[in-house]
Order: sequence, then structure tokens, then C-alpha cells
Amino acid sequence: MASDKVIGIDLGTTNSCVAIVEDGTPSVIPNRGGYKTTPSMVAIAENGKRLVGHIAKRQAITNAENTVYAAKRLIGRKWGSAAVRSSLEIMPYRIVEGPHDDVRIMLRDQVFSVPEVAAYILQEMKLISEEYLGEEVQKAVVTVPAYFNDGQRQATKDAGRIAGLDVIRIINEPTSAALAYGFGRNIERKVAVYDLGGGTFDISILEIGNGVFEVVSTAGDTFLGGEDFDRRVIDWLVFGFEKQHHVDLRKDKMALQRLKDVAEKAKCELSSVKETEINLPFIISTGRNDALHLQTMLTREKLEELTSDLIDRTIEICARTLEEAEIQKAQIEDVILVGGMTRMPRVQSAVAEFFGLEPCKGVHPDEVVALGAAIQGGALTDEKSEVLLLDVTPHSLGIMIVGGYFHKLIEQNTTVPTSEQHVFTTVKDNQTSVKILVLQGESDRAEENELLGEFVLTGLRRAPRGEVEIEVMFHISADGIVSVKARDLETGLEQSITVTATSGLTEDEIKKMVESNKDYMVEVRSGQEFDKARHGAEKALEDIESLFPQVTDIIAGSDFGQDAVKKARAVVERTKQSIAAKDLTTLTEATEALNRTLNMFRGVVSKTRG
Amino acid sequence: MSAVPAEIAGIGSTQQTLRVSPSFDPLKAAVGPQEYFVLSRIDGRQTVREVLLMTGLPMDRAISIVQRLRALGALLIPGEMVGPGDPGATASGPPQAKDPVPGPPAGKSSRAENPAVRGGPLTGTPQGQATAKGSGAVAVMRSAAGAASSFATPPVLRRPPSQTSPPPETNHPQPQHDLSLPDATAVELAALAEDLMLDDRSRRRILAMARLADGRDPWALLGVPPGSDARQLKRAYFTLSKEIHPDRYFGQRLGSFTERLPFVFEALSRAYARLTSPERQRGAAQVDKAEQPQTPQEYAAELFERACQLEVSGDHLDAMKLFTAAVRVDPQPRYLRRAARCALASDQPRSAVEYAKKAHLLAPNDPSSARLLAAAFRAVGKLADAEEVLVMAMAIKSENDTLTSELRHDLAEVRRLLAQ
Repeated sequence: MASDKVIGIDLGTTNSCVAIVEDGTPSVIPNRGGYKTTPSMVAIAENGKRLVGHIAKRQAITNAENTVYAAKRLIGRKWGSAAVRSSLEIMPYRIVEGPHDDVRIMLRDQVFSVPEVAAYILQEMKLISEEYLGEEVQKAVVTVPAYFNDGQRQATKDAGRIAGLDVIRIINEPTSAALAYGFGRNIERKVAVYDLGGGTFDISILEIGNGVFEVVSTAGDTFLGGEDFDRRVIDWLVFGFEKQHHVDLRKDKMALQRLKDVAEKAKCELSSVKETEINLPFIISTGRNDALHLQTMLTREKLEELTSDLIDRTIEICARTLEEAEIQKAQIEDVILVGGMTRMPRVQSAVAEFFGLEPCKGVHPDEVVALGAAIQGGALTDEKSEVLLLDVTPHSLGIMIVGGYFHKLIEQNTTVPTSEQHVFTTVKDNQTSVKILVLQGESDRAEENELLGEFVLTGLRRAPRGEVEIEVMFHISADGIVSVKARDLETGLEQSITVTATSGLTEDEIKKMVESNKDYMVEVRSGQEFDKARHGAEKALEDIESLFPQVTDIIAGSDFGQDAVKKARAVVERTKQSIAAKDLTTLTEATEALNRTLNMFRGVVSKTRG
Repeated sequence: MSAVPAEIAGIGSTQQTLRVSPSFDPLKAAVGPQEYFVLSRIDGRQTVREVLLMTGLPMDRAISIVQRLRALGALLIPGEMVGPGDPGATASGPPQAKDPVPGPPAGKSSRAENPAVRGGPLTGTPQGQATAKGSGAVAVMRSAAGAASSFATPPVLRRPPSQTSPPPETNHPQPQHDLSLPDATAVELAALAEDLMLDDRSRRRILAMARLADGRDPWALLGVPPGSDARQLKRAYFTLSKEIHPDRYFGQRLGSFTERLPFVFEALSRAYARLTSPERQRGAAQVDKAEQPQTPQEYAAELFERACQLEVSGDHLDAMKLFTAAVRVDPQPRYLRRAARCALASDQPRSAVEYAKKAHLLAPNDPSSARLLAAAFRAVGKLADAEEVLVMAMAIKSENDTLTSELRHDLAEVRRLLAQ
């Protein structure tokens, strides 16, 4: 029998966890082995069987090439992205290019998309909860790092769909942790959630009161996590081994996998002990029926030294987030630590030092995110729930305008649902269509942001440029779904899209589009830099031209009259050239000189008249 | 105003808390504006006594309105699920509801203090569950009603005590909107009459807030007095969010409210952001400063004087800081030129260019502005610009011969440098 129950799934980089709210109490559902978390690993065994979780992890060493871990680092990413390129080097499994500039994983001649791999893990979590509940589960709330972009969120939703789950909501991991922390407690305070997981780092500031959880600000780094700490240890081991034996262990995938296991284990052990022995016998064969062994000691101090810059980076992000949100450290009344990495004593002390208070010990860093997801599931479906989450959009949204600039309509950290609109105009005479590129990100340059989708509004009236007005409306629903509508204010013609999947375009392709679609772009009616500069320049050009005859007459007699007229002409030419070149920097400079000259021209005329 | 009686006929004790029957339809009942108003005050938290006092109506009038509303089935006494006037009333209604007898049954107050019953959200009959989900106010009302009940079957706790929701907050005022919706439009009336699982009070709240969603009065939209502090704003925002955020009605059929809910919530969060943004707080601080008796011009003049003294004493850097401050308050060409000169003297050519540009813009025909700008351009290595400015200045005849010769000298110097 199908159940109305909503499970909460923390789909982690290294481990996943599932929870549910029963009789008003959220609890984690253990898997068949009795563990509360399940490794986020998928493997294809020699007999073609699919293995997920603990079983996959257990055989990882002997089947490294066909075992996927940390697939979360690849989900929703583009083949050309830096994230994928760096994964190519370190992952023992084969990562190949997909048909839409996406990423595929090859296991035993079978090609899987990343959402498919994630789906196997979600399916496992679904099974675990169904066995526990004794009924079919269809609905889930799934968590993602706060800094995931729309493409990564959509891909995670796709994974849910493949797994046969209706993902009723995607929520951010730190937010989820805060829900678990504040649930059932009558508190009113500002808290920070420091979430250092396997692959990502997030920091969120929330305001909690009367059952309402308001996200004030959120930021993070999708490429900073426990795996990076492991890699530092691996690099240290590889380097030491190479120095001693002149053998690069990285070239042997099996050795690499063993190194990875031992590095993670050592890192975890050093959270409770001061030093640990690393022992990898027969790590590599030297070819003559002989093998080398790796044996060394790693101290907590050494680990801290190897990773201190990573911890510093997280603290820097914390500082920046507080600054951007204009929140004083002293206003934060509690810090919640989430993610396995926060067990590291140095991480705890760095956080305590930065915020000036001891982090909250009441939450379990591995389970708290899943618990929060289950609570949000309850909040959405249980009529009696007293919980409301006010979430924000983690990235700014807008469109590309002429010159390849990104014009933001919705700023990051805006509470959703939200909508915003702005009027744009045509850039060319007789332009009959405009292309709307919907972008997400913080960069001023369009190509440096994520392209969410595009559409064309046609049938515009033939008119001089700047005359036809197009209103662009953005909406983000409470579910985080983005829809964009463009409307010709004259004819009422409309075009719209709902962003459901990434188009798979690369940066280069966007750059090319910037070039090839120059004539089909819109520009901001007022305020956007180049446009504004050009309008200003054109006005000044007009004005100065009308003054030239008069001024030439007046100053012709003076010593430097001819010189001055020549100079003024040169400035006019310079301005015209930079308009033609569409170069904002030179135009700004030229316009400044032009205005200066114009000002003096005006002065000359008024003085003579006076 | 006359005193509030301890009890009123048809209702009972004025110490008890009434709530609005979810099945009551004010449109069908044809109540007047005063009745609407009184009805809108009944929020499941205030006691009858408080409601009577806060209406501002003459006491006997207020009492008769409450009695009339009660007779119409609009009001529920604690423990009731359906009011007496309601056609759907069943035997589940408590005895005193069917047969209005003045005087409360004994032992009510002691029961109301019973902590075990005060627990939290309670489940009632299926009808109770049928009321709109998600409205925090409704949930609290229900709990308050259960707490004061002496006849209803013992309530079932949905959550263990550790998971109870916070008790109703009584130490701060609830956001206020005119839920009577005076001069309701046809659209609003239709929205109130739609067949939805959304209770009347929430509909009225949403409609009342939609009227205020144009952004002109963010305070009114948040239902707080203008000038309320950050804490009051936050509480109002949270309370209202819990009532109108679309997530509170997730997956429900909402008719015309499907569009209205996000619209109103977006307006609410915009209003909240506007009233709590750091800009606003800074703006408020600036207003305070402006209340000083000095005018900005006077203040700038004073800064300028002090800067001049410093400049004379050779402290160019500090002088420039003060000139900068003066310029910010009152951008006069005179102040700008002095700031530029100080910047040049204290080896800050970039600042010098900025100030000189502004000065030149304000007084383009003043040769000294031109000369200063040219000097600043020279200092940053923009010789071509310097030449251009000087040539233009020379082209304009000046009465000041000294200055003209200075300009000529400067121009020669710049041209010499350019030739190199």
C-alpha cells in the first residue's frame, strides 16, 4: 500500500541518510545492517550485478574502476567545467563526455548518466524506509548543498524521478540542519550553520522564532570538503613514498584506491587520537615478483598542517557571508556544526575561535540533515505542523543584455517565492525579435554565469532602436522553480519558459552566442552601463556639434583657437569610434573628455552672450 | 464606558475565549459592518472581556453584537466544534450551547490551567481537521479552546510533550489588519465565497493584505504601528508568514488564492526586507544627524575653515581629509579645488584628478580649475589630456593675465614632456 508519508533524504557526497517524522518525532531509519548512514557508492560487479551502499564500498578496492563514489561532485555539472576536469584526474572510475556537454560514467562498458547513479542511491534509501515502514513510499524531500545552482538541483530532482520518488521539495543542507536543531524548541535566536561535508562547504545564517526558520544569508564552496582533506593526506603519502622508492603510486589505480581508504580512515582516527599508523603492505609491485610496502606515522599535528589552508578558506567564507549580510559575529547566538568533517578538533576550534562561542553539541553531524529534510516533509504535508521554512535563492538571477553583460533581476539571498520585473528595449533599428538568455550567478559578464535557458520573442514592431519596450518578468516559486516571461508592452505579445533542465551549453558557446546574437539582444532601458554611457555620449555629441560653428567663431581669434578646435574635433572622433567599437572603457574615457570640452564650449558661448 | 459584566446571556463567562466557527459564512448571514468588526476581533486568544473592551463601542451595544453573532452561529464557546445557529449543528455540541443559560459551569478556570491539556496542537473531530491546515492561528485557537473546555472529550496529544509547539505568545501584539474588508469588491466577495478548505479568517487576512500589497505602506502590510522596532517587525513577519506562506497550503486546492497567496507573501517579504534593510537603518541614523541645528552648508564651511588651517600648517594629508568631508557635504568648486591641491601636495594624484575633474565640471571656464586639472592629469601621466585641457583653457580669453601666462607656461612644459 502506498503511503502518504514523506521521507527526508540527505544525499551526501560520501554517505547518505534517510529519516522520517512519526507521531511528531523525527528519527533516522537504519539500514539492513543497522547503520544509520549508507555509503553513497554504486558499483557494477563482474557478473553485471548492481551494488549499492555498504556492499559497493566493501568491494571497492578490488573493483575500483567500476565503483562510483562522490558522484555528487559531478551531478548537474558540465563536461567542460573545472570541477569535472579535476575529477577526471582523481577518480578511479571512467568519466566520459555525454551528448549534451554533460558527464557520463562508464562502468563495465555500460554508460550511466550522473543522475542515474544518484538515483540508485536514492532508490536504496527508498527501499530502506519501505522495509522499515512496511509500506511503499512515494514522496521525499531531498537535500542539496546550499550553493548548488539550478542545474545541480534539477539533476538531483531528475535522480529522484528515476528512483521512482516524487521529490516534493529540494532543500538546502544547512537549512535542513537548522530545522532539526530548532524543531520542537521554543527558541528565538539567530544561528549560524557551519556545514563541512564530504565534498562541499556551506555556511548559512538563520533567524529562528515561533516555529519559523528564516534563512538570512547563505554561501559556500561546492568544491571544498572532506575529500580535499583526504587528498592532502594522499598527496603527502605519495610524495613521501616517491622520495623513498622513486615510484609514483598515483599511476596505479588500485594503489590509489587503497591510499584513499587509508587516508580517510587516518583522518577520522586523528579526531580522537594524537597519532595513527598507516600501514599498506604490498602497495605496489616492482615487477620482479617483489612488492613495496607503505608504512608511516601520521600525527594530528601533521594533518592540521597539511589542511590548515582548507580550514582557513572556510573561515574566510564565514567572514565574507557575515559581512555581506551585515551581521555582527556577536549577534550569532549559536553555531551548529554539520558534516563529518566538523568532528576534526581543529575545525571545531577554528569555528569556536571565529564566532567566539562554543559550537552547539546537541546535533549529530551525520544525521541532522536527513532529520531536517523529514521535518520539512512533515511541514508541507502535515496540517498540524507548526514549522515554516522561509528559504532564499542562493544565486542571483537575470538576463544577458547587449555587450554580453548580466543584468540581475533577482538578487541572491532573496526570500522565495519572489518575482521581479524590468523593462528593456531593442538595440537596433527595425529589430523585430529579441532573445532572452536566462542566467544565474554573480558575475557581471554573462558568459561567466550559468545559463538556465533561452527563448525568443518575435513579432516586434519595426521601429527605431530603443523605442520598443519589452517587459521581462522573473518568478521563483516556493519550490524554487524559475519561470521567465517576456512581453512586448505595445502588442501584448508574450513568450515564457519554465526552467526545468539545463540546456547544456558551455561557456564558449555562450560566448559565441554573445557575438552571433548581438543584433537580437535587448538592452536595459535605463541604468545599464554601456547603454547609459552611449546615450550620454550621443547627447553630448549632438550638443557639441550644434555649438561648433559658434565657438569656432568666438575663439578663432585667440592664440590657441585653431589648436582648441582641432583638439575638440579629435575628442568627438574618439567618442564616435568607441561607440562603434562598443567598448565601455574607452567610451567612458572619451565621453568624459567630450563633456569637459562641451562644458567649456558652453562656457565660451554664455560668456560672450553675457 | 460601563464595566464589563462577569457573564452575558447566551455566552457565559466573559473570561472565556471565543473563536470563530469555521463553518460560519458572514455573507450568507448578512451581518453589518459593526458585527464584522467585532467578529474580526475574535481571534481565539482574547477573552470575551478583552474583545468587548477593545471594540470601542458602547458596552451594551458591544454585548448585543456578540450575542447576535453567537445566535447566528458565528462564535464557538470553548469545547464546541459547531455553533448552535449552524444548520449542520449536531448533538456533539455541548449542552449549554443549545440551551443558553447564564453562568459558567464551576471548575472551568482550574481546568484551564491544567498543563497536561495545554500541550499543543490537538486533534478534534474530523470536522475540526477539516478546517484550513497550516494556519498557526487556527492551531493555537484549537488548543486554547481545548484548554478551557469542560465538556469536550479528553483531547488526544499528537506529539509527545517534548515536541509541543511554543505556547501562544501573549507578550507582544498580533499583527493587525482590517479583516472586516470595508467596501468589499465583487472579486473579494467571490473569493470569500469560494468553496475551499481555507477558513474565513485566513481568507480575510489574505484579502486585507492584498489591499496593502502596493508597497506604499509597508508598516500597514505588516500590521504593525509605524516605527516598530526590528524585533516587533520580525515577530509580525513570522506570524503572518505562518498564516499566508504558500507552503502552509502545500498541495491544497486554493482556487483564486493560488495566485493571491504568493502575491501577498511576496509583498510581505518585500515590505519586511525594506523595513529591516541596513540602508533603512543607516537612513534613520542620517535623519538623526540632520536634526542638528547646523545646516549642511554651515557644517561644510566649518570643515573648510579647519582644513585651511591645517593646510597652512603644512599638514596636507589631514587637510585633504577635511576638505573631502566638506566636499561631501557641499560640493562647491572652491572646496573641490582646495581638496585637489592638497591631494597633489600630499602625493595622492588619483584623488587630485577626481576632485579637479569635479571642480572643472562645475566651473568649466575658470582657468584655475583648468590649470589644476591639467596639473592633476600630469601627475598621473595623462599628458595628452593635460594638453587638451590647457589648450581649451588658453582658447578662452581670460582677463587674468598672470593666470594666462601660467597656463602658457604649463602648456609649454606639457608639450615638452610630450615631445620626449
